[in-house]
Amino acid sequence: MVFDSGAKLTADIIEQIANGLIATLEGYWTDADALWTTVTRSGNNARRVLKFNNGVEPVIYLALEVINTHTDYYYGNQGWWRKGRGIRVVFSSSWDATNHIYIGSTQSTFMAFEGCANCPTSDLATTQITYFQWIETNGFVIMGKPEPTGSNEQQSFIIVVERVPTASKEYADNLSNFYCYAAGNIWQNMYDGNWPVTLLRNRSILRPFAYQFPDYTGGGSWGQWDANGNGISFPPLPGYVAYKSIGNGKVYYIKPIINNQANQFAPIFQSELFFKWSEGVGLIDGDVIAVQGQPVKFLCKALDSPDNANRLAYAIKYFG
Amino acid sequence: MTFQTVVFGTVVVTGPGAINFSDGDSIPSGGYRLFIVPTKNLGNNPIDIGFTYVNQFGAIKTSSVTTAIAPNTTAGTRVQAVLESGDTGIRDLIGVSMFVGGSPGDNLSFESYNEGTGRFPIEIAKTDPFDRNVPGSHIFEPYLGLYKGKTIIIPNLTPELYFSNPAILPMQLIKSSITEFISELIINRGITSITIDFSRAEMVSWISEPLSTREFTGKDFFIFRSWLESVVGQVLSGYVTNTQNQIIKNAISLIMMSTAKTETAPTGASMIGDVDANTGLYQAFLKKLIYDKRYIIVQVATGKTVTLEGGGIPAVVDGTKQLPIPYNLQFECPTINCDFNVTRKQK
Repeated sequence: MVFDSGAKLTADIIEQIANGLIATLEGYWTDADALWTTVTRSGNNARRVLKFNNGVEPVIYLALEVINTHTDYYYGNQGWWRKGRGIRVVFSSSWDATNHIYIGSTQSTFMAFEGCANCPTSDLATTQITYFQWIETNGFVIMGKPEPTGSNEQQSFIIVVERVPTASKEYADNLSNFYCYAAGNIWQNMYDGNWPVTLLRNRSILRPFAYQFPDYTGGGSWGQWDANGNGISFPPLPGYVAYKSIGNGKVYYIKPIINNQANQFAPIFQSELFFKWSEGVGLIDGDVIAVQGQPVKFLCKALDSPDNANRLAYAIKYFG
Repeated sequence: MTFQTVVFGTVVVTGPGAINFSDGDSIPSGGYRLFIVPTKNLGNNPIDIGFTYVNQFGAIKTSSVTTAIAPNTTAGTRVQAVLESGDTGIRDLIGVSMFVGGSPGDNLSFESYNEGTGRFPIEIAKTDPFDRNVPGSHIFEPYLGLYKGKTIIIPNLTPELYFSNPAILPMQLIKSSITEFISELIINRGITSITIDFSRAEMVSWISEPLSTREFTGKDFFIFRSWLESVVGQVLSGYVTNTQNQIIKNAISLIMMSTAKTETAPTGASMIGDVDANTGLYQAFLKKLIYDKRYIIVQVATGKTVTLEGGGIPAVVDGTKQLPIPYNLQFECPTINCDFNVTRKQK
């Protein structure tokens, strides 16, 4: 269990996450394919894939890929494509060791934080990402902010991959114990269902292998989508998601609720790695929240990006 | 080196000698010099002001000597507050102990200046001067092994100074852009030959951004789970019989119990249904539960009632799935009409 922050190239970040998960004491994570490395930084060649197996829950593969080609990821009928580079997260139920690719049930999201509206994107092999990151045996959460480049839709981002133990499930569902949440500070996600479903779509939540959201297969469903209420719920209290009491100085919050359907009616567990917080009600960027009665602490971060003043405000696990 | 200003409090003058004081931030240790800063130009009246504060050792002190501020002092002027003898700084401003003079509308901020956690840029990579008109990739010299890259100047752009966030950390990056090097484009765009120094200094990359130094206790609101006594079920009917499948007469009531603690019944649940004494037909409303015990109440010839426990088929009544009708229930009864000859032993 380790918190880390600094600035790294994207490939080095996924290398650190992969090695961090493998290094966890429980030994649930192993390298699934020795040919998936981050040695080559050009194209989409910097990548790692891990296998999770604790002997009890369903085996699952987690692929982390640097998409470093100038990639179409959103069209939206405006007459041109939004381009992006970034990190792709893929869950799969199996792994093709011969062809070195995910097979079986597969879910994916492409977090295009180096984005551009109808213009070039910059090389992630040379673009530094300032990051704040927690890694433990149950997954990782990372918030990042790219350095300024020539593109015009650079986003700060959050990616959460978390496993919640079976004992914490609300009911037995025979599904995996994982989910992935991803969001940017400009676009929560920009999903283009007007075009064929591919592994290059920007999704905000994956719940292997029940659903991924958004996941429309054509017919005009495109635009920015909000995951809140569509698979993950961030309950407000009632106007803010987390705030500091002006009465006793404590911080009050509710853990995000992950659902087994792309709605808010099938809660299966709550996250232990992150939650949203509200700016302007007592908390500021850099504050640390020590959870009452537990050793756990969360770090509040609010990241804008080089191209947008919107701030991505999440508290991520910091200690414990 | 830059420092983040700590605003310990503010004052708005509402009339001569009358103020509204607002408390501000504090620091957990050490002590900063206290400066009085008008946030707008002061009026024609001079001001004398004293404070109650927490000094650099954590002791509460009150000024015995006030600090004077001249009339018409311009906004932004810093006047260092006079503290008690031996005090070099404050951790917290508790309040204004004395205030004389001032004009309505005067605004004062009480804050630190040029002290605290300093932040400074660290150079992580640099190059020798190079001619941007000479095509070819240009390699950053790695510094401390932290960065290695390749850059090029986009033609016709003035090198710019970038900041990660002007309010927080200076990130100086004298550059035009970082992109892939395509020599042909540079030549085609007719670059004016300029030799520049490329240097890159960055703070956030190598030293973790300082935290706010504030830590709060958090309380997690639970999402409370609840039990739902389902009202969705089925109406079941059939005959009460003995284990030879003969209809039991004189039964008047049917009781079924779900004794297990389940997802929808935290402490078990029961059901009572009517039975026709003449025909043995019962009717009951089942919830989505498994009823593992059942009884019928039978009125015997003596006018008394006896209770018979379920036996035979079915072993349990599974209300979680649709059951066929009629659905007969067997009970441990030796006779058809259960007309027991019940006598009470006399004392």
